[in-house]
Amino acid sequence: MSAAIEQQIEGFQNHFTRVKQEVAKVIVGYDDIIECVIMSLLANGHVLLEGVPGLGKTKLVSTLSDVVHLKFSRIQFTPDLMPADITGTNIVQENAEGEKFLQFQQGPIFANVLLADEINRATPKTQSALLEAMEEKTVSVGKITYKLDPPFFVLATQNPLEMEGTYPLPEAQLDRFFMKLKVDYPTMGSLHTILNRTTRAQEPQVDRVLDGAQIMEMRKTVRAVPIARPVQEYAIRIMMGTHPNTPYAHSLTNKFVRHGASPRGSQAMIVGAKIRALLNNRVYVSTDDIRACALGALRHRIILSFEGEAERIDPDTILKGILESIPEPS
Amino acid sequence: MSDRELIIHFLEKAERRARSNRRFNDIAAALAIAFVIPVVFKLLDLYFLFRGRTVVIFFGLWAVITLVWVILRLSKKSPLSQVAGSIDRKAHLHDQLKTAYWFIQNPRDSQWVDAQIRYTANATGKLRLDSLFPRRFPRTSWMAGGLLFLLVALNFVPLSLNYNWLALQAAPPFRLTEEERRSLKNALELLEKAKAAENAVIAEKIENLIQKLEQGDISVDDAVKQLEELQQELEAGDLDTENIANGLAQMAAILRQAKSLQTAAQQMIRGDLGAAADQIHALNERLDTVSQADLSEMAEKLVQASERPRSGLQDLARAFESAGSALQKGDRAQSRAGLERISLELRNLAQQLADQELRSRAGDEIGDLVDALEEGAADETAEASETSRQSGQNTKEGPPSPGEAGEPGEAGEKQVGEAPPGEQGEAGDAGEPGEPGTEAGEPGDNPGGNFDDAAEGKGGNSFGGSTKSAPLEGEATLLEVQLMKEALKIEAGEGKEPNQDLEAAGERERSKLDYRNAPSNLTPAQKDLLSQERIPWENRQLIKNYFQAVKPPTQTK
Repeated sequence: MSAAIEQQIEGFQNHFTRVKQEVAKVIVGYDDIIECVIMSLLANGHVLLEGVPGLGKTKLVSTLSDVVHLKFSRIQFTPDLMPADITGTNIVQENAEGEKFLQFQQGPIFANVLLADEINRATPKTQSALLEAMEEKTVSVGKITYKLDPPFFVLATQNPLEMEGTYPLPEAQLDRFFMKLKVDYPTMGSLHTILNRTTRAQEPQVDRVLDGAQIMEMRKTVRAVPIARPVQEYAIRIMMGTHPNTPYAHSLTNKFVRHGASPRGSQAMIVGAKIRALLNNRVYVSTDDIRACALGALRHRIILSFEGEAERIDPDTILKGILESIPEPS
Repeated sequence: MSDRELIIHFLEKAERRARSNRRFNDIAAALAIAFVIPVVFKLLDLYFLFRGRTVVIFFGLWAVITLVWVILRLSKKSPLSQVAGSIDRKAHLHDQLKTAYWFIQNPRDSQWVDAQIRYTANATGKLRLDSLFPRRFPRTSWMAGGLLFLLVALNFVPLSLNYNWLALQAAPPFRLTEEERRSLKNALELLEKAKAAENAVIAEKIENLIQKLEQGDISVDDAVKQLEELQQELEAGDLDTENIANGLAQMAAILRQAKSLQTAAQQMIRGDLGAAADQIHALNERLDTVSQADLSEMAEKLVQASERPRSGLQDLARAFESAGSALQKGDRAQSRAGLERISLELRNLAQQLADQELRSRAGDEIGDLVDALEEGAADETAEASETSRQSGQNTKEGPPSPGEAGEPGEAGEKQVGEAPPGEQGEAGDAGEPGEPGTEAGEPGDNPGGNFDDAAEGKGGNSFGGSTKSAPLEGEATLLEVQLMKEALKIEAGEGKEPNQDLEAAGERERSKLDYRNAPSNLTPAQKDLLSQERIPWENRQLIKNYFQAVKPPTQTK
């Protein structure tokens, strides 16, 4: 292994570990979630956090923004929130000569880390305001398109329990999230730690250990990791396994899935696998990496059929079935 | 050696090791599976008894198929990518070797790829093929060994129907059924009981014949033909039992007119010649107590009974004549010797008749064996039966042959289905006019009759039944009945041929069904007795003469 590559990998691992450690100072018991969030940041993706209120989703995002030394903004999604409230709007200004002109007032989307809190409370129209920004990293207002400063990272949260007054995210929106992470209740031991840290006079403070330039460098490193075609094919077959009525479809897929994952799903799997390979000190992607990333990358991209919804099938169950059925490439 | 070459070399080495291991496992597995088949085949052989040829063909096919299968399996070569994947799994390399091999096969200008290959080359240097692909004794080899042992052991299972293939033994081409074997055993036992010298020869012939049949040296058809010949030989015999029985009855009818000989005569009529001999012997013992009148009467009847003896009864007749003459002369010593000779002749005759009966029964058993063999060869039998039936119909419906001019019916009914048409005519020449010519028996059914007898014009009845081996059983027909019947016939048929009318009437009433094939618990002797439905034509005149001769004096006058 060449020294440069070794150095890159070592630097990547160090940065990653430091960010994770800093976030973990505040967020307890969610190491996997933290890791996946950082992975999504490094993979140039966005994360949808799903969990009941009070589990620290918002805190996780705010802590991450503190650690990575990036411009952070937060939008609390409500039913009366308008797209302009997110993107910004042209407002009438007056210059020194008294001439009036329209000036674009940037909305909260113009940040590096955007927390879209309770995103499903906003109307689909407002939710859709994020579509362009999340994929093209631009914001179009009127005839002018504004480019967002890289890195642009959206962290959205949603509450799976409260369905009244909420609007499920449209498929196009969901597909733009690199991962959907389920935040469960912390364990008893983690709760002790949480309470100890949050009920004292001094709350833990985090350091800023990563800036935007370093993040962009890490992203380049991730993209450089090679993947052999058989392993890539394995990822594709997993993705194809979510498509009903195809030769690769799993029996559960045929029964409970209306629409399978898009190519973005395999992209997410492979990029996530590359990050995982680097974290495991490997310069190549293995099928283990693919499998590890499959659930987070694909679960929100599977649209259940009526039968699936009626029987409350968890997409994870289908994905696990697919992972078990697809043999490793030889 | 570059990193790439190092990896390829390692993979090739691993592939050879994996292939040799796989070959060993495959051979063991193939044998384990393959040995199941001969074991099952051997188990089936215990019930179905495969012939030697079948076993040889089976094992030949089995060996070829197994060999081809093993060769096909062994010739498969695993691709190196598969070996790489296998090593990745065994060594927990997380697809490292597989990825490196793919990058070697699909080179890419990338530092990362080079690094991956270099890193993999270093990793392969630490791998040990012995630990990755250890040489182990496959479990299936135990199974194969066990099955082989079972196969060998099955050959030595001490069962009567088990043939040791290892000793190049197999079931014979033909095997008698239990029924056939029982018939054969009965026949041989009967022949042994009969104790005649020629019986032993016939028994040996039968045994040799069956042995040849079971070894496949002769076909079933040939065996059937030869058995039929032996059966005819058995049934031909030396004694005309019917004739003897009739002669004895004739003698007994005369003797019973003597007061002292009545008991012995009754025994003779009943066919119990041994008892009759005892009675004569007892009479001899008390000869001194017999009155002169009775002695005279006895002498007269003995002489009378010795006249015109039947074939086979000449010795007895001579004894009668000797004793009668001695009694007439009043020579007590000669009389005693004569009576003792009568007793002895009766005993000899009883023994001869018993032997004859045993031979006849043995012949019947052989007949049953022949029937069973013919039934066994179902297709051939069906064809032969059809041909025979057609032949029988031709005989009945077709134009008579030149030889049938005399008495076509007699020979025809005996030989239908067996004798060629030309021979029927020859037999008919010896017959007596008046018998219905088309009165044929059932095709192919000729128990007891033979062609020689037919040619001589004797030894058969109009239904093809045997007239020679009929046992002496039951009470003799009352004379009065016979006399009345004969009297009617004589009165009605004077100057004409009444027999033809009677026979014609009988034929009309006769059933067309072959009742003789109906299941029966009767012994062969009883069957023979029942099958004699009418008095043989050649004996009728003789019987008529006999009854006329024995008419009571009052009627004669």
